[in-house]
Amino acid sequence: MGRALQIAAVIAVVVSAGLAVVFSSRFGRDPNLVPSPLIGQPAPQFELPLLDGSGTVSLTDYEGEIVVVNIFASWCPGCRTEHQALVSTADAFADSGVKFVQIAYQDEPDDTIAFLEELGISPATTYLDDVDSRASIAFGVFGVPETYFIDADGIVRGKIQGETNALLLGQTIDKLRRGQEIGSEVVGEVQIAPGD
Amino acid sequence: MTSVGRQRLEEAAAQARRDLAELDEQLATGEIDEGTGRRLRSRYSSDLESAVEGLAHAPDDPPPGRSKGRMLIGAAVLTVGIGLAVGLVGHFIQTPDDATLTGIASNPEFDPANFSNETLEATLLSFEGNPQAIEQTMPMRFRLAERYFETQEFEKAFEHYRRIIESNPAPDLASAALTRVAWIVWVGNGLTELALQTVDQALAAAPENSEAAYVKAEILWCGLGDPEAAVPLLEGVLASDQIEESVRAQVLEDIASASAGESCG
Repeated sequence: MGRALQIAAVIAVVVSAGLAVVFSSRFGRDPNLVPSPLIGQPAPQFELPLLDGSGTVSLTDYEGEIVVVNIFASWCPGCRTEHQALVSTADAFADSGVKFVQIAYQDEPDDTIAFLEELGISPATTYLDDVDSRASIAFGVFGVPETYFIDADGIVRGKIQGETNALLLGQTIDKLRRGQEIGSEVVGEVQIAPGD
Repeated sequence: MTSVGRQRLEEAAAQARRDLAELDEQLATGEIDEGTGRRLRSRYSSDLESAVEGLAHAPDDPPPGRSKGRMLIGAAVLTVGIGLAVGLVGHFIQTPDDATLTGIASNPEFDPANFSNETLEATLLSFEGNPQAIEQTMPMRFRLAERYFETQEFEKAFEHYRRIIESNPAPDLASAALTRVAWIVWVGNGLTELALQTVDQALAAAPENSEAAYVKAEILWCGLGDPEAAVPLLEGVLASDQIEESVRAQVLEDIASASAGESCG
């Protein structure tokens, strides 16, 4: 019994120490500074329904093309602010072989549709509903907005976390087209849930 | 578009310009009140815009008597002009007053040369509904228009020059944009009269614009067959320090030919 208690105490100390290391490494840091393990990896595959309910779209549908995937929500102020930039950039790159996909994250389809009706859509963008957060989980989404850049080989080359703008979006696409490194960039806050 | 259609548009543009000029006089003399003036200006400006836009989309009809060699030298002078005009954009969004112009564009080291046409288009589009950003994005728009002009994507260039002209730019910038529009409507659309009116506006905005003077000389000589009228303009260009030595020699040759009454080309 005494021996068992000793072992339990050692395990408790080791676990506590481990937790202390984990917590000390997390606390006091900007929670947005989360490098994406996806960079350099094949993009997670998904098949999601179109917001208008007219069918489904899979990432494989864009094989051989640069794809910009933006995760957004109608309840996210940053998503609202950056929306025009996404529409403008999708429009501007429409004839240049760059596809835009916007995936609604933890949102009611009616709310998302109302958001898009209010702020506008790009005919060059595909709008999807992330049913059961499948895509968000696969992409390891920390919060919204987040934007991923996938090259023509289907590899995730870059990520912007937080509210972006047209110049940054375009510059990132320019780099991707030139084969330059992009990496992960944090440009602002993200929201994990409504009211955060 | 038929030549009759072009002529009608050209006349409509000229009429709208006359109306605007008269309106300025009427406002200056108090003949009409400001409210009426605003309404009329909006209408005349809209008429002018429609006419000029229609003309810009007219099929190509190169002006007569314009040789390839002269086109090249014209392009060379324009390239010099472009270089000078690009100098105008030195203050490119370096000190944005508008908080929405954040990120890369607010960096003093921002260089639009590092961005694709699509990116500049996207940025301009994203500020479309923001009247406060018009002035700040104007240099970016001008740079983009210049790129299209250099690659002879005249329709795209025209649209951006038009937007600049309508945005009440500084005289130098207005003059540069009007000169390009004059070139486009002449070389691209064969609209000699409209080109002449436009380049006159460019010179009115900035009389020292030697590129505008050169374009006007070309229009007069090659477009209207009037070498005599072209000579003083070419002499003015020659006296300018805005042209390179290689171009200077060609301008000298032009002066000699025009002075001798030779036809263009």
